[in-house]
Amino acid sequence: MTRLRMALHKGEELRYLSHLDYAQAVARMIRRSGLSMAYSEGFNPHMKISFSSALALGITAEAEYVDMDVLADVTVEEVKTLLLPVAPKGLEPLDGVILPDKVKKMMAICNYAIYEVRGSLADSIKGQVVDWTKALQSFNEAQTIEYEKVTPKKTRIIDVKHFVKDAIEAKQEGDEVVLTMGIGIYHEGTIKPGEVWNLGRTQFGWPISDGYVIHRKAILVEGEDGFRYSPLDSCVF
Amino acid sequence: MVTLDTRWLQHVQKPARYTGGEWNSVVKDHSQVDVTMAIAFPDVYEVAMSHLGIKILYSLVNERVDAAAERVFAPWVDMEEEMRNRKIPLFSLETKTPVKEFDLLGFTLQYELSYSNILNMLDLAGIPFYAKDRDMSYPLILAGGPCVYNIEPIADFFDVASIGESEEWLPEFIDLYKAEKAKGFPGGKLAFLRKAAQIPGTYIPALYKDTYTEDGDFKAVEPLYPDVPKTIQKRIVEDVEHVFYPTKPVVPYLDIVHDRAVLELFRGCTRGCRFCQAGMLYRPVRERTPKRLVSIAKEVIANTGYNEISLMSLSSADYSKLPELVDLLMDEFKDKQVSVSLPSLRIDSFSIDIAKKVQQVRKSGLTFAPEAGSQRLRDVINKGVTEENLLAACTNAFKSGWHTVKLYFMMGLPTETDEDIAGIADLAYKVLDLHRDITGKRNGKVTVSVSFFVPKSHTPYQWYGQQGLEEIHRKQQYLKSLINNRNISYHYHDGATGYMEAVFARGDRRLAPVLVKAWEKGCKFDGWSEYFHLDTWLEAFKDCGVDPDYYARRPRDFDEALPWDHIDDVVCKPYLVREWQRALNEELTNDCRRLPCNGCDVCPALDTAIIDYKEGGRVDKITYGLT
Ligand code: SF4
Repeated sequence: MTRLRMALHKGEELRYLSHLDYAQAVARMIRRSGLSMAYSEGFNPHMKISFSSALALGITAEAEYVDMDVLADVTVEEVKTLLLPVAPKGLEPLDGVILPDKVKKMMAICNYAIYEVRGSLADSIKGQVVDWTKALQSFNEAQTIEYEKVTPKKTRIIDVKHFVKDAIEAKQEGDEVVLTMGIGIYHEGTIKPGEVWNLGRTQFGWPISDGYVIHRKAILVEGEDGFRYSPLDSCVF
Repeated sequence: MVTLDTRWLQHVQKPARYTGGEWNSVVKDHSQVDVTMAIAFPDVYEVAMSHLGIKILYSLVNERVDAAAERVFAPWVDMEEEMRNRKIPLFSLETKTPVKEFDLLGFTLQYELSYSNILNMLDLAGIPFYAKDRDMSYPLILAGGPCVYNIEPIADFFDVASIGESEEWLPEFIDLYKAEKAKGFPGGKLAFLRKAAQIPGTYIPALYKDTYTEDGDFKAVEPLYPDVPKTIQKRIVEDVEHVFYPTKPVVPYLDIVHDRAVLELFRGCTRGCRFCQAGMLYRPVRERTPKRLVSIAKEVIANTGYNEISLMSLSSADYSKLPELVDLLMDEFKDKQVSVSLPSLRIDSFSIDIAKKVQQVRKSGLTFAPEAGSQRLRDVINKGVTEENLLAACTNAFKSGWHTVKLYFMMGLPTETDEDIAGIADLAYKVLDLHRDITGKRNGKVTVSVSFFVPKSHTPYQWYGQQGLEEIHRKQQYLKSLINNRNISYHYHDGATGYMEAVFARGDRRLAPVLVKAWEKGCKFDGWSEYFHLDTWLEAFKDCGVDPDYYARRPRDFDEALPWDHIDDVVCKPYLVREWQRALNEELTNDCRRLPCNGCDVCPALDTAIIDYKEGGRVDKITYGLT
């Protein structure tokens, strides 16, 4: 048996897949490849694969990571070669590593994500070049930002800066802007990139309109040393 | 090409319904093909994608290098609103091309309650409803599927209807279209349609005129031109063994209604249940060999990555080589985690043995369809099943570890009395008691599902006046009062949808304006109970001065002309009349599959025969049509 961690794309074509849809598409791709996989026991056997996150519907990702148990001795290159011809557009295999026997669950260790949120400038300043350092200053320099997080189950107050520690950066392209934000995903919760966008727009006067498009640039493991590693980096296993 | 902006699209329900890009979907450059066709299903993605006919035609057309087929389904109400607000026309999933720009737009008509969605889709596409208002700059609107056998209520909206199985018809039609298109359609639309009418199995509503008696009864649908056939005989594929099979079906990303590989074992059913339109329309029975089926299954599984394969047919347990096929499939897939499922079970112990083999016991409940509660009424509908059969099947099932049984019944059948209704409750209790006797446990569950019978064209009940809604409501309550056990759950529909279905199932062309009116008043997704509004429909009828009871509830005479007489499913009328009389006499008619011919005329009229591999393939016996 070989345990592998593969990096797969979640491209524009798959943007509207929920996490479950995406997991199913991955499982079906693996089945088409002919790789013989380990399955769970029971009435309804499931392919043994697990993911680095539950990527929401509407979000694309540079890479999503999947751990898989292949019953044969295989190399990453062999797996890639088998998956590539049966991968739908937007779900291409990118890279991978062989894992040791025992690894921590990816969902438990992936605790930092970098998003690019794209949207239009507010109508009032279209055609102008915005001084983004200044526009983002009060948000970036704040020590704490209280935010009322509403979920279907409950509403509570969180500190946004607990999750968004690094400064948000902006890149204007014509009448559009891309905000790059790093967000912590912790035991106690997280904040969605769309929520940060709307918070900035409504409470910090960011000159942006309300529609946005989200792309996840990276999902990472922030170690106790404060450094961030890719899930493929052997020091995170 | 239509563009969909994530900024709003991500806020509609399940945007993946509208974005395509699934595995095995086919994207072609329209400038590189001669004919483009949009294949439409007037319901939402999850329902449409579950339909085998769509898979067949989509792949069949895309096999051709000179043609492109793309899919288009009914947008859900939230998406429709966005599209209307943003002036986005109805578009195809593959290339996001506005539907209006295709050469052909083919709808599959599966149920009458989807008709309002057809109009809604045409409207969204910017295409005029009535065929007479469309020249060749619009796509030709095609229809296929079971409802074309009485397409009259919506005939005025369609240019062409394909009667019967379309796998051989459609390529012939596309060939003609391609040739005429290359010549620039000399003589215009009418000339083209007259040529198309020469392809067997083609009904062109505009080439026929409907007439009525002075009393306002239907008189005839007759050809306007001498070269147009008086009646249109259905097409069938005689050689189902070698006919094209879609082994690369589109694999949806969303969870659809039937999300698995589909293996069609055979076509047709000769059991002869008198209420069943499919049983009459799809005759004769034509099986595929286990060898061919296994090779199809292997290809489909390899091409899709599905982990379940469903053995589909009108009555799959009747497949003559079922045990052999199941063994072959289980053997083929035993290390590949592919399960086999049997959607329709026959009520006998044999079926349970097969179900035991293929299904993990307890994985799901078992479903049986006795259809009627008493032996008398089951004889009336020719459901050749006895209480002993049912109890024997349940005994086997309970001994094998099942605890849940679902029973399907119909209400409103001809000759039905309250005693027959009480029989439904009786059967449910008997099954529940049986479970306790066998298992000694009290955790058995029986679900009783009762639908409202809709008399359909081309069946022995086509002359029968549907029972009134109040009567059905009374019977529903009566049955409810008889079921007082928390282990028996009782489900029924309001019945109003069944009433509207009955109107359109046996209507004529005078219903077209009513449908348009109902659509104007907001009717759509009528098959979804939350969107069905009987009051709105009744208003539309009233506004148009049309009486729905005239179509649904009026008993018809045998010698009365019927609006579907010119659409010939080749089951002869004398056979249907005799079946009606036998029903009243509570007489059973044998399954002609292995017993002698009953004289429905399908085999001799089509110069064909039943194909049954228990009998060695093509069954050569004397077949005839009653006169
Ligand atoms: S013609 Fe005879 S054998 Fe053929 S389907 Fe009809 S009843 Fe059966």
